[in-house]
Amino acid sequence: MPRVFRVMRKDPDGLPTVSQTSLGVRPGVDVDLDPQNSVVVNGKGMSVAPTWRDINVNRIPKRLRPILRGAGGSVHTFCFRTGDGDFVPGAFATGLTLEQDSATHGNVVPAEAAPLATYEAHLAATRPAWQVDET
Amino acid sequence: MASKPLTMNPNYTAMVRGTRELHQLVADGKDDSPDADAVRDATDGPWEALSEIERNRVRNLSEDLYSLVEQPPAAQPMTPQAQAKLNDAFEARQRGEWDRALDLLRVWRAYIDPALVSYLRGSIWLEAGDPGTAALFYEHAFKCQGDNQNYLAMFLYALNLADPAAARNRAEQILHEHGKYSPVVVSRAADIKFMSARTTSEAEAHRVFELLEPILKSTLAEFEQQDPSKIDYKSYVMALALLGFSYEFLGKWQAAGEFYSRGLQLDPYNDALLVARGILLYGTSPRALSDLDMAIRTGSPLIWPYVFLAHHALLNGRFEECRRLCDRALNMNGSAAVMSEVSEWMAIAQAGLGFPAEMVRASFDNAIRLDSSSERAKRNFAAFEAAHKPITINIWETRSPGAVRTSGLAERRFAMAA
Repeated sequence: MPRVFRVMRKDPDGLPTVSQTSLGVRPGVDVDLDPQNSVVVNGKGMSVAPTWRDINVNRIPKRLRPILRGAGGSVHTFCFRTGDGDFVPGAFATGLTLEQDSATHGNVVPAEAAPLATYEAHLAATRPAWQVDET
Repeated sequence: MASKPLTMNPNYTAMVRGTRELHQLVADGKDDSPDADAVRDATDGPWEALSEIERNRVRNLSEDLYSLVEQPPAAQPMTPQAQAKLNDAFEARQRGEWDRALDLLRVWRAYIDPALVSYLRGSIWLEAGDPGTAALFYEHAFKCQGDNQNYLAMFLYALNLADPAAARNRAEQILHEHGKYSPVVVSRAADIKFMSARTTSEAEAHRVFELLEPILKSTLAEFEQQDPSKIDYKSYVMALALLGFSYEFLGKWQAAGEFYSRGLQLDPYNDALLVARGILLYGTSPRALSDLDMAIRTGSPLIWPYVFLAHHALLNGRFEECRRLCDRALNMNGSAAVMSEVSEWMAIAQAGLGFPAEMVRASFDNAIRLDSSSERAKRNFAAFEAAHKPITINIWETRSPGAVRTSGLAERRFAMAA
């Protein structure tokens, strides 16, 4: 699995919150849906980066300012990491692949057209594999 | 290396604007609000499009924006090393190395007054081409040191570039209580109000100019009570110029001329004042010609000195000089009516110089294309076609100096780049 980072909220168990703005996607924004409510496979998906320092500075929790100047994200969010492989396109997890759109950004997308609920379930299933990494 | 503004591409501009908005929300305690999340969402796309240099610039700007609401670092006594680094920052700014100047200020800020840090940051951002960011830092400098109203004047200046409507509101507040502010601030506020009034209705413009007149006079009196060595002459001249412009718009030309002359005594090469007085005196005093000539020598970007001197040369049969001045004017910004008349003068000068008929026709065609209502241009064209060539007698119909002055003054009412 490629090593990726994403800023998300954290549940009491230390794992990311499953929601549209944490471990999940915003339909119509992060992914496009067809009339049957299936996710269109067009490169869009859940946004990730190869290191947390590459993420939009306005999302990096501001407690990390001593490490990264200007961090302006909510203190209620955390930089989560999963995977250990190279940041390259390919299989990510069950039903999911990583699409890379630049050296510093990619999207976790459905491996094939699937109902939104299925795609969301696949994303949620990765929850145990994420851990906070703000080093 | 010459100082050059930063390239403000749309993604970078959107990122900077979003970052400033986010910091404003954080300052208002809305760090974790839907509004803040909306700003973060809106900056994701632009962020992805930025180069690494631009990303670093935004990170550093965001860090510097925290200084607007946070306590400054504990002040440190100046050391030779800090002094050297701050000198480096000044020199980097002069060279247009904006990022380096800002980096040095960030690292060594504890060694200088926080108000000065913000003032310098504002100046760097202004020169780098981002008046919106500059305004935030200038405003903070004034908050830190409220007795230094030069910071407030700079804030108004930057705000007017970034957000003219907000600047006008602030200027109106200041003018309403002008006695509480320094003449430098009142002059700046009056300038903003004056410039905005020029685009309003005639009645509203008159009301504004009449409102500004006593304020500006009182401001001048305040300047004149100051120790001459401490007067901000740039602002003083601005107040004199504004009074002159106000009187000009009110049709009080003698008073206008007197204020222009007072301004020129202090700033003899001020092209806006030279042009203003030159137009006002055109056709009535030889001083008009020397003013307009001097304005050209100072490199004025205004079209008017070229137009008036071209007209003067034409009336005096100096066709080559007229042609040269028309050529310059036609490459500048001017209304269609002005450009049409200049093209007409160009045609007459070309005819007088014996240019090929096709060139003369092209200039007349240009004049008529620019202003199809110019019956005079059409009559002069017809006279050219009917005349025996070469043309050795004056067959042309031209306007008098007084008529050219009157239309020039009228055009300047709402197009003056003072």
